[in-house]
Amino acid sequence: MKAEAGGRPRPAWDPRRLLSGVRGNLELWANLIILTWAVAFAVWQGTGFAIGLGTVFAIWGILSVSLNLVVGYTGLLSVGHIGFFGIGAYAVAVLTSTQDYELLRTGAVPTYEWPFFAALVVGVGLAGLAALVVGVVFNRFRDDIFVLVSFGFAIIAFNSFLNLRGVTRGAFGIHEVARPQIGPWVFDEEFDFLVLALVCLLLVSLVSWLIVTSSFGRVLTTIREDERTAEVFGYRVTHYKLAVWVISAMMAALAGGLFGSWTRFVDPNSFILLESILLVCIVILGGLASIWGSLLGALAFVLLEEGLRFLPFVPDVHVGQARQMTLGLMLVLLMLFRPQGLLGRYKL
Amino acid sequence: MRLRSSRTFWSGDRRGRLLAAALVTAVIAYVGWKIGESPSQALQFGFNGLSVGAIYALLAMGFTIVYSTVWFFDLYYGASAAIGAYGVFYLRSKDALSGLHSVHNAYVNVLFASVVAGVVAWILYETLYRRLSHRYNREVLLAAGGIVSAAAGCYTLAVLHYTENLNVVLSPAVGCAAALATAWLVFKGLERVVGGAGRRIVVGVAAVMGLAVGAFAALYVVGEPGTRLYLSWVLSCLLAGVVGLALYRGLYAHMRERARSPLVMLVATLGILLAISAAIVLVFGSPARPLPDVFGSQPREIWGGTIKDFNLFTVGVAIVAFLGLLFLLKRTSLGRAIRAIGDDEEVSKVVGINTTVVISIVFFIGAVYAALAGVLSGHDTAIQPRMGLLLLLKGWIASVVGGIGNLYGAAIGGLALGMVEQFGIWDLAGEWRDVISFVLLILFLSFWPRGLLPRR
Amino acid sequence: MLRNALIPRMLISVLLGAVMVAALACQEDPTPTSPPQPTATAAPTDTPEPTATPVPEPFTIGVMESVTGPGESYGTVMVQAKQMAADEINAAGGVNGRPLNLIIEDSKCGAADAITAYNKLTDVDGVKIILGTSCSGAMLGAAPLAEQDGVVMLSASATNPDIAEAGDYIFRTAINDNKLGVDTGNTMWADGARTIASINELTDYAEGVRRTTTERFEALGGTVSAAESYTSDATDFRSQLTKLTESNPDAIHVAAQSEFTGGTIVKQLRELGYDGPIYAESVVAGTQALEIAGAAANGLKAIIPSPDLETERGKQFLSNFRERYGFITLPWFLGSAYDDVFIAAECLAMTGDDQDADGFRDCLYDLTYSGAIGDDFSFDDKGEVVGLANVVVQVLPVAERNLDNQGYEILGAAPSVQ
Repeated sequence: MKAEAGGRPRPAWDPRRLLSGVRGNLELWANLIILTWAVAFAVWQGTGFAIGLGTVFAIWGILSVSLNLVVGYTGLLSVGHIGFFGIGAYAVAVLTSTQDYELLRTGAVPTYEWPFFAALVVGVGLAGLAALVVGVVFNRFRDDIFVLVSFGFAIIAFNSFLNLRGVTRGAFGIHEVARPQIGPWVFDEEFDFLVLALVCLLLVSLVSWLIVTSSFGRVLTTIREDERTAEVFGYRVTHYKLAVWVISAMMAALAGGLFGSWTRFVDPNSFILLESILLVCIVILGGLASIWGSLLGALAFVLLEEGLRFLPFVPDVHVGQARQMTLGLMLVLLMLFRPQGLLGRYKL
Repeated sequence: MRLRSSRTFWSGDRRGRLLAAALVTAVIAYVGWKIGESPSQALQFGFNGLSVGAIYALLAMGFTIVYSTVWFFDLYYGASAAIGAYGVFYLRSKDALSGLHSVHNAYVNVLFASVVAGVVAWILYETLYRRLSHRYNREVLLAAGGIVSAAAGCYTLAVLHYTENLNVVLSPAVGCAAALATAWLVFKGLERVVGGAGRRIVVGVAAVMGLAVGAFAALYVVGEPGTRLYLSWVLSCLLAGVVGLALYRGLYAHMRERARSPLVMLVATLGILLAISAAIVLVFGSPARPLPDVFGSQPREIWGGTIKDFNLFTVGVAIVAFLGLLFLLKRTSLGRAIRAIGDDEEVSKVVGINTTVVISIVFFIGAVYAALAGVLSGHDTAIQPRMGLLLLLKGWIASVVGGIGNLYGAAIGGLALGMVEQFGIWDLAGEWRDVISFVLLILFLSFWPRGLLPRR
Repeated sequence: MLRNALIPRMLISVLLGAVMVAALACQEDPTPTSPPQPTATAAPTDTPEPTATPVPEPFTIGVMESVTGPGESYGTVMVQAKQMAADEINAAGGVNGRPLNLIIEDSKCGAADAITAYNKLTDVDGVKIILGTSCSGAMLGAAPLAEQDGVVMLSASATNPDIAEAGDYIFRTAINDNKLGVDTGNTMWADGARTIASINELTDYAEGVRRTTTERFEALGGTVSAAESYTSDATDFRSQLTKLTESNPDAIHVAAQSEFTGGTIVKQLRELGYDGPIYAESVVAGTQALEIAGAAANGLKAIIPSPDLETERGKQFLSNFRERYGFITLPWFLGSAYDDVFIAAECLAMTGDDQDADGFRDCLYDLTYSGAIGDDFSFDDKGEVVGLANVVVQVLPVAERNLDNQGYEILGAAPSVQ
């Protein structure tokens, strides 16, 4: 207290000065640490491990970038994004599965055996339709009531996957989901799949970037900052919000299709509410209205799980919980000191 | 704030109101039809709905009072329910820590004890030290405070170590609490009658009566091993309440000063909920576990339907909690202060209400209500780490449906939610239970955004 | 000033990154078990010279059980049984003088996690023989991959009928649910029930049990008055159970995957005032389930596979297990898991190579084994176990339950009707 009052320059090692230094360049530090960490992991763990992690990262990356369009550019904190992810995954799984177990043969689920990309298109379209319907209904809610209602959407989606057993095979899940195939070239190797997933991630980021930097994106920013003003200028606020909501849902479904095909097995447990909450954490952590931030957040999220695995006092089965705890605490700290997230442009 | 902005949907939207009325009528008509179809099943569903609805109502009441005071949703509330339930589990179960085979109970105990010591020290510092430091030697005060908080920590350690004999270990605390409460009540009561003149006599009488009641309570508790369970309820509810209070004082109070929107608070409390529920899995493991039976599990038959004694007890607790909160809000100065802060915090500060203290109390009450609901629901069915989130959502829905900020609304909303969940799966498969409540919430809010009985 | 400050910061961060890389790289050496090194595990098997080295190269096989998740209560003890078997084998000199090394992974009773665990075992540890896994759903998740990769899986407790069709490399010492369904249907029919209501957990195992049971019961001429199902994380079954009891069945059939839900359902059924007979399968007869249900489980009948407690080997195993771990639960699961390790040891002794999955498979097809769970059982051409049977047990009153009788008395073999 006294040093502050006296105005004496603090020595370089003073923790408070270090802290303020870190805080001033938080973006730089976040970038550096996470990227270094990623490189270190890739080097240390070897390529086989890195390929698997990379695919997980690509899928979470698509999800968080797409959710950031909604949260960062409309200010609607949606906890229901996992529902669209699930729609994409299930569309691909149901349409491409070749499984012929007895439970399937007895008529619970018909098999279609479509190619992957056709199913993916259907899945993305379905998610778009669902988002349109949900968006029209949810349009009248905002702020914390919207959060509650989107919780509801996540739960409704999960229970639909679980209980529409004629379509999704319920808790048993769908086995033998097809891998992507272009002509004779099947993405069967893990590395091929990683490339495909990264290409998708790139595409999604590019599309998001185009949306954000276009005039459409500027209108969105205006709406977020001041809805009244946008209305006064004659913009149909509802339509803009709905459009970005649908686009975001379609991106999530793309991620879902990739996920289903990658794991080759889809069951409702991948689409629980908690995953959705963690996704929101990633987006806020990375930074609102920042595509790069979302990517970085997803990377940190993926690395965190693997990194915590090597803490001596965390048993292997509880790594997910340790990660959840870390994320929760980081969320609190961020809200306290930096409500826009690490690389954010917009404060919640 | 929120409510005012949502009024734009509401005002003049008579059609929405009509549709909402139609929705409610349809639900009631459906229930009526079902009652006609099979009265016995309807009665049984009614009983099931009542026992679940009482817990939802309890949750909604606490949730609504916190929300209508500080105007953000405190999601720690769900964690509080889980803390309450797992606290009882920890105190009453021998193999509670099966999730951590390698960790001895002692570590957890020491952790809790040090937390308690810290909280006690902090409370002493906040309340007493500032007032006394002008008059007395600071070093002595600090030393005394340190000793007291260390003693509190040691006592906690002892309590946690001898959970087998909770009634013995806790009897001094119970005695002290009973003595203090009695003395205070007697003092307040007599002071009104006797007035200023006989103050000394009043103090004396109060002290004697307090001592007597305290001693009796302590002795009674020692002699009744059956009280261990109830003591564990009190302990874990207190723990959850204190955590809620500490979160407000240590965190939310600072955050609220800077927060631009209630979403910041919502996200921060979401972080706390995530962290605490993950910690519960880390400590207790992820599978669901039962809590011991209370009042036996023999069903009681009423008009052909069956209900457990414990469920009747739950309903009773909910009613008492409702009446208690109603009394607090409507009849005491504290209640008036709470309502004033809900109306306008700045003005209440100006007129001399100590808002920090009042809001802390509100958070404490809210967290205790949630913990109580968690304990009751744990005894009724079982505990599992996800219960916090599930109960939170149910309480949230119930309070929003009932009209956020209104105590009557919360009670009705909770009960209605319980009933709707039960009757909704009459024709649908039972797996759709959670969906039914959320679909109804969304429909309801679309037409009737301010809930059944909005706060005036 | 800002620019000046930036350069040292950059330097510091680059240094920090380098130190991190260096530190992580250094860590690689002292912990050879944690990072995956496929080459390291593959190399030694190419040089089969066990006599040259003082400590012979161990046989490495994988174990997958549901250490967490709905199957936790039996998955955990089955791992213990397998560990005990491996310790006994190693104490007796190992297999052909080489020790047996088990690598344990958690399949969490679900297909997705089983696939993860399977990939870890085969890709990272290079295992070709896997003992597991404990839940049908998990087995059905990993089995197609194992069949595709030519990896042998031998499950001790996965019973779903579909597993029979899963392929050449898939074996089990668990009795097919088709048989359990027939036995359960017969038992209920023989006890005079003509209408039943059923409730099952939404897992491959429990669904299989319910399906085969009701199919058999309906084939006998009975009717199913109500059927409900629930997810593994449910805790409140009262409204669903009300629907069951309100349909006035002669008996209620419970198929659960986790002991917790099974016990809770029985308890809540009695709390709702239902006093008719309850039929269940092996999970509901588990110690933890009976403890949760308490007096509500009195008289409950379960159709379970049971180890032949009369055989010397069965008795010996159970007493050894009890001595080592201090408890016994679900004796059949324990015995089955225990026997699997010995079966694996026998076949490894024959093939002499833990990478030779085809030889191991052929050995299993030819094998006839007598162990803790029965005498002279073998595998048919679908990898199904032949020579084991289910029994009907009835749960005793609370006061009479103890570790020796496991809380129930064995009434005898399941009746055969028509």
